[in-house]
Amino acid sequence: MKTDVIVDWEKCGDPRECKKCMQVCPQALFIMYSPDWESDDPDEWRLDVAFTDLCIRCNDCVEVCPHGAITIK
Amino acid sequence: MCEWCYKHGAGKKWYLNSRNYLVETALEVGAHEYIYGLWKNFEKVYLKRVFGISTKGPGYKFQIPIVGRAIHWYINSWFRKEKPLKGRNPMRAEGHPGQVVTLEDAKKILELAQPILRVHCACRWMTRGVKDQCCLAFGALAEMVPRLPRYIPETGTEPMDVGEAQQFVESMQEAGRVSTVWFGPIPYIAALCSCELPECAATRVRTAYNLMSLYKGEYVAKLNPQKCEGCRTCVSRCQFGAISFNDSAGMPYIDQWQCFGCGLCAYSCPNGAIEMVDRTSLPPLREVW
Repeated sequence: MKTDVIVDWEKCGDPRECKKCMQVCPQALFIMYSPDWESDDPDEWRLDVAFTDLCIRCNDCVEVCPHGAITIK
Repeated sequence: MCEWCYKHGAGKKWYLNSRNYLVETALEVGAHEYIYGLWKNFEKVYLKRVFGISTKGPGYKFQIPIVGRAIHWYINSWFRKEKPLKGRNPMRAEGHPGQVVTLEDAKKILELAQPILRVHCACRWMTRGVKDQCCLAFGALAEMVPRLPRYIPETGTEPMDVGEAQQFVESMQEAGRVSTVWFGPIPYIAALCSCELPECAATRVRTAYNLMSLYKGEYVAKLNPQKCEGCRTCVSRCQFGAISFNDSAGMPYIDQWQCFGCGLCAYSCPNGAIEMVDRTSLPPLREVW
């Protein structure tokens, strides 16, 4: 079974303001980044998961997300 | 002595060779541009496509027969890359491996490095959104970090003096963090970090995927059963799963094959029952890095 974690950037908004999923993830898999670091534009900031194979599918991030932006497939 | 000691140690350990800290060395390998590129794009290094292939779920890719092993070998070759001297790709962390060091060696490193600047840990900010001033940047990195606002600490960009930095590293070890020293790029030495699992990016890819982003230290922990009183203090210190408590013997079992040689267990032992012995003094472990 392969796991994929998908973050809907439209729903997520600025991850710097929230960070709930990042802090709740037992495997610390979320990565917060912006394509252009010099910009402080909230729309530029995104969340993503690179090491999806380390996800234990506990669903904590899905439950904690106030915007319903995370899906685990 | 690991391979880097032979290549860049001039008869000593690579991180105790003062040449590797010089401005001249930094300029020779283009450390300023390299390190700026690496720290600027730190988070994107993980999410970038490589030859159009997504880097998501690397564990699945490494499991593919034959092709998986080739990808693993290819990614591994980035960290140890030494050519070209100038212009290695920071987006692939080319020539940017690190090694675990004991407190004693970390203190010696701080005597060689100039200037020393305390900066926010790039890994913790990226994975937890926490700004934690625990990494010590040297020379070229200390010069470039002030250009990247997210790593500048609240205390400003005032360099630390050697004694202050040594005390700081000791407090980090006491708190349970592993000291690691970093090439940036080989043979220039750019930083001394206080790493923790699971946040530390390099420790994570080493332990999860066995990628050689982080080398095991020059020492391994060995227990002196005569001195051990079975208090279990050391057991909780190990981040690498090398220590468990053996109830029937009434003392810990230290697995030298798993040991990264950080010395946290030895440091915590109230009876001095754990000794850090030279890895090379144990022939089978000589090749285990």
